[in-house]
Amino acid sequence: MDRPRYLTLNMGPQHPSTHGVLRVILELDGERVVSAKPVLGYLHRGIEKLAENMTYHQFIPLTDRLDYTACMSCNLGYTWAVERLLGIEDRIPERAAVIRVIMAELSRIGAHLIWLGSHAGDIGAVTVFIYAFREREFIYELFEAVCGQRMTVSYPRIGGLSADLPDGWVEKCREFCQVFATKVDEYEKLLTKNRVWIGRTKGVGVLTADDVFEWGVSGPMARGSGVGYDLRKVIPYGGYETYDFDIPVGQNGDSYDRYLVRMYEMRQSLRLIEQGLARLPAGPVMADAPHFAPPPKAEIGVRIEALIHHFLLAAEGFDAPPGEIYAASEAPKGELGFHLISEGGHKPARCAMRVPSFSNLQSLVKMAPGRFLADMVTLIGTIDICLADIDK
Amino acid sequence: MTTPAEKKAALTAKLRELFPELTIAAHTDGLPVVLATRERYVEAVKALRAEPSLRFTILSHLCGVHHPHDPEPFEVVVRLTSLTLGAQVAVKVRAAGEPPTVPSLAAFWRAANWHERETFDMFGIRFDGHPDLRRIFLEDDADFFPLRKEFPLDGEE
Repeated sequence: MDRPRYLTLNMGPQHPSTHGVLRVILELDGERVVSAKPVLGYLHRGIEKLAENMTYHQFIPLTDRLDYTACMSCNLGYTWAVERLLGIEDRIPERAAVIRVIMAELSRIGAHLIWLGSHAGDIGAVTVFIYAFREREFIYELFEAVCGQRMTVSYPRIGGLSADLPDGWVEKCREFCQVFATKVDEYEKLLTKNRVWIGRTKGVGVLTADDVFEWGVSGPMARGSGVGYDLRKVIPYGGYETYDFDIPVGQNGDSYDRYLVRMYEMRQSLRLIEQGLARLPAGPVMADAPHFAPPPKAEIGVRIEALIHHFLLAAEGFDAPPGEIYAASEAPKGELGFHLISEGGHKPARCAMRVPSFSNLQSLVKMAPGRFLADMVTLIGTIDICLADIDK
Repeated sequence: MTTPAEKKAALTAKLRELFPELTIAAHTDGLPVVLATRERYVEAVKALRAEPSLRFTILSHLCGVHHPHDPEPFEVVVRLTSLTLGAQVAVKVRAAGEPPTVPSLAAFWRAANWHERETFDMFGIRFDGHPDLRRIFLEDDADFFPLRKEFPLDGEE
């Protein structure tokens, strides 16, 4: 009787280290992985289709449900895209633009902390999880103070921000910068020279620069392999070209280098936040673009025109001119792009999303063969996936 | 320093030189779009990837679009990124026939694999030469393509 040579093993969709509902069909030769086939779709909600039945403003909360570890980055990616479609990019007030950069970088640190905590926890260093989530809590408090929400923030609006910073927020954010400056060293003390950590991540999941181009990975995954693919530098948007920051890149393209890249990135994000706080100008946080942007909240109660204007924007939305754009921003996990097509009217004709986790996860097919089964946990962790992002 | 608008204009001029027989259109913000024919589509993507002065070495995205009123209603849009130029470009091609078909990029560029599967899943556009063209999000026996315009947006209509 012929016996099958390989053992087929289902990893997920209910598995703690797959970070959601990823299912991977593994072919095993003893402890070695022969092939890994990811199976997607367990969280597919059809967000692209839903977008076609919503006004541009109504869609903002759904972008929270893409990468829920970095909701602010997804909101901002979308609002930047719609503003480009409407041609009001240059009319965003300076104060709003600076606050957006601060928020995007806070969001990046928050997302990297979730990655760090869960990745280290998966591999066995559970302590790091507690440390990382302590600082993440601080960031979520800052988000809560500006918009009342911790995770699904929906803070930006098309044309600016839903509200200005509350009193005392800047001081609180400065306090965060001060506290956090020493924390990355603290995490590194736990991991960077830890023999077990090095043993579990060094040389695991190697992607060369050529692999990056072949598989289309982006974000820290690409930079770990020495490819300086960071849209904040390559194709600057939202004012990033006026800030001073570095893009860390790795050398070996393994899980350890990607870890170092993300640690370094948190420090760079802190630099950006400090620069933003230092230059934060006074002024409005909503563009003076009455066709698209809602009127200031204070005016709605006292001016009938503002009330009507607000009502129209909320009830039926604005009329976008016909056009087509693609706007990409650098989310914590990589390139987040929105391809918007407007045929006029209140709703987009198409809203396609380029989500970073989707392309990044594809590289698992390349990284897994030849590794031990236990390394699968490292590999899924190092990609930093978010299934809500992948399945859309 | 060149402004983003000048950069896009220079790139458009360069693309006109590279593809004299293809139309070079533009997005609302001036981002160049190569309108490829089905015969020249694969060749155009390969040229953009290999051309030393362009180096569009990253396939960022590939998606479908449904224009229900056009004679060839299904369109595929590919987005390439060049790190050396700091620029992005789109290549568009229309699908022909029933089921609508375009040549596949996945055969020579793995980054396109899952994007083409997603486009097949959502629009029913077939990619000729794709190594593993299956649905990616929906179940295999689904008999609908949800991102087509005739698929109801708001419950059964």
